Amino acid sequence: MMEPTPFLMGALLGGLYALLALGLSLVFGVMRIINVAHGDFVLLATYLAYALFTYAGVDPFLSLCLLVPAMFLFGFIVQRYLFSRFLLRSAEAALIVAFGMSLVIQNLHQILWSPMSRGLTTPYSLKALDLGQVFIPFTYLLDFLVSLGAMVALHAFLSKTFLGKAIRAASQDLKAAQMVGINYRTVFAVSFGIAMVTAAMAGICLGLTFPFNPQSGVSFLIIAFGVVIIGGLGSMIGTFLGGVILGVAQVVSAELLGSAAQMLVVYALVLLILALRPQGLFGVR
Amino acid sequence: MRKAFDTLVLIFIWLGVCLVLPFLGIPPKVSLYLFLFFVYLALANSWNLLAGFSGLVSLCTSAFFGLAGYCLILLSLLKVPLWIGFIVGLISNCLLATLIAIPTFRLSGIYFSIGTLVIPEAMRIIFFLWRPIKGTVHGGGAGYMLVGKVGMQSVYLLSALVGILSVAVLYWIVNSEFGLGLAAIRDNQRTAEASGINVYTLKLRSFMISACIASVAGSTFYLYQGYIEPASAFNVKWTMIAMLSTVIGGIGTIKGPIVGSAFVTFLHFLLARYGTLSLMVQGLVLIAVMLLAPQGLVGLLGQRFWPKVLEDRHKA
Amino acid sequence: MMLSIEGLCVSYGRLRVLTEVTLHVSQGEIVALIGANGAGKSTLLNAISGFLRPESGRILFKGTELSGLSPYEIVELGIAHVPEGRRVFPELTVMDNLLLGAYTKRARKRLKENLDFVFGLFPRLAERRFQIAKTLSGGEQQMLAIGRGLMSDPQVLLLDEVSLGLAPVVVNAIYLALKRIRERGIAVLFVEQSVKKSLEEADRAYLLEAGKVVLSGSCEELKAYPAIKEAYFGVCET
Repeated sequence: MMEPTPFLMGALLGGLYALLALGLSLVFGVMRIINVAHGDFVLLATYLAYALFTYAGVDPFLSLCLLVPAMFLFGFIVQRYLFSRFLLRSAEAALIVAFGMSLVIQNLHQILWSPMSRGLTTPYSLKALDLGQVFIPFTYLLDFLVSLGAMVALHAFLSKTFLGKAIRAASQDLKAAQMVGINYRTVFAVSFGIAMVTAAMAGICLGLTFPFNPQSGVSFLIIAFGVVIIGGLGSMIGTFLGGVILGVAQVVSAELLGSAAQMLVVYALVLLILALRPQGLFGVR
Repeated sequence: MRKAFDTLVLIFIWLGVCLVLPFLGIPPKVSLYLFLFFVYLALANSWNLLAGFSGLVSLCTSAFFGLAGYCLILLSLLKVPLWIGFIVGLISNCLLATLIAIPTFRLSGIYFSIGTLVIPEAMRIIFFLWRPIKGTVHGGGAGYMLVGKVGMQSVYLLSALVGILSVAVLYWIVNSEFGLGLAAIRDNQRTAEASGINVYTLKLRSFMISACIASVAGSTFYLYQGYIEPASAFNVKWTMIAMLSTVIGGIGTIKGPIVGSAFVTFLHFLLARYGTLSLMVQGLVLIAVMLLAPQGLVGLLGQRFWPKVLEDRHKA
Repeated sequence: MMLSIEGLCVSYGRLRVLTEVTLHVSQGEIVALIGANGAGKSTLLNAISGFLRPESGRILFKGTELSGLSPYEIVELGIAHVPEGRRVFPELTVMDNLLLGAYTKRARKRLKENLDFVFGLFPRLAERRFQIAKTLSGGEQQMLAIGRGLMSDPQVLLLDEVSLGLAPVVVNAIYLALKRIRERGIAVLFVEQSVKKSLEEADRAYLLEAGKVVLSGSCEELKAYPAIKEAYFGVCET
């Protein structure tokens, strides 16, 4: 019988994975494009937090105050002035541009930070909670709480505010949304900005929890995509559960097969779900 | 009919020129870049067949490329003749394509793209962990070289053959009934299905042919390079080369990849000294081309490619 | 004249869909746009509401040129388009759908007023205000779509095929509502499949054929035309 620790850790990690996927899910839901550069954008935030931490001694969570508006602006501009031009043409065009951006950012990181593996190690990142039966790293708990908070906040925004409802409306029927006076350009740009904010939070948490290098963006993207595939679109609960499933699968397989193979299990799971039930386990649309 | 004849004549002249070149005593460095040009051309056509003619934006070109290389080199270490290594590479990649198709052909094109993104990453890890033969180079790779010497000239001829054949294959497909079916699928998959076209079979065929082209390109390349290791074999740069060459030249055209590959080869020549910057520059060029001239250099001469409208996409 | 269209030409690529269309709608009028499928009726509405750019001609709303404006700007000015196929936001509640109708700044100022009016017009919507839109019946969804259009506080209401697929009882209820909308001073331009229905419910009508206005006038006048009687009522004048 296995210890409960990996399962619990996996579930906590799942919260973070759900946060990671939120941005991807939001952009896909509203604009119908999969931002292939999503993982690299997340990593961008991670490296920025790393820079602030290493050179200015700013605690990563504190740097959120700076990174959240910065990433929102970044997302807003990228969408408004770059991706929007391709939405009118085709999804393939947006994909290719995102692919290009992905490589540019990857290479940028490689030049600035070298291919060496790095990590955000703060005084508290090595602490853990020992609850007798289970052993939980402090960072996992923090990640989970941050993710939960973000998801609750986003859910409230989407269901209670005018702009949030407009975003949901635009993702359900774009033409009808325009017919009630919604400027789709603004909605798209705001959505992308919000996606980048969640990406920033996920990036910081990931940096605190795992070592990262310039190529990590691809793994982030595949995990985020996996969560979206497993959990389905249009449901935040689905995204959360998708994250938990993926998280548990990864941690448990790391225990059983070693850390090198854990991503393989994740990839296999993604492909399996794509093959068997592509609309996800809990998808609304 | 006249047009086809003219094109064939042109191809033959071009073939003749390329085959003769190495014997005219050009410096080895130039023939290296010519070699690369043909390899890139094949890669570009492999990608173009999918993205330009079948509506499938593939991100797993490097998987086929690397797998072919591994088949060739691993088998050579077992004293298997090189040409068998080529064929095993082809078969493996056909199998791989068939396997990849199962999960990725289900939903819309975007799921295909991300599904294919997973494959090179997975391959990299697999070949990092799986060391079937004790290799001399770190990463599970191996030094190779066996019967006699495969001289630069032979490799060059092979690459020229591969490159030109890839153009011929695409040309032949596009002008066939198969190509017509692909065009229908690219335009509107549901309509094509409703018209009785077996979408899955046609897409699979296209995907397998694309894999085969990338496969021979990979085998040829590693025949020249002589060693292989996972991180570079399955590196995204191969996919980038395929994509950039096609996009610069013009997606969905026959001449596009030729022009584009020449451009990319030249770009690599310029960036040879700045290894770390290479991918970044290529990415920026890709974005710039998409912004300024999405139809590519060839497409600028009149071919419309993506006449889609925002609303229609949302309806799907 | 609230809405005035002069010499409008619209093309899809090289295909000319509307040729020299001229029509107008005034305050407190109900005007019908009739014609066979493919005559260009929906195209005309889409051109007015900003989804299609005309090749030439003018669309004037209270003197302001509309062509070239984005759909959301046109809604802000005071024209609401209720599209073909209802197109309510399926996953949102009735209430949210209506609230979103009042998205523009101008509409939000009169949100409460318009909401009361809509609920008064369609009591069924009030009953089901927290129901998810996709679970409503066809007729209820149509009412919701119209209500949503009204929430934008329009002065001109464009309706595209509101009776499609609905039972006659429901259709009558909707046209009754249109009369009350007219009383409020809103100009109504609707596209309707049934010529008979159109001539009964509207004040004036335009007959569109292959993108051109071939007949226009008050409904009383039009009823007398043999062409109309013959082609659409199947009555043969001997």
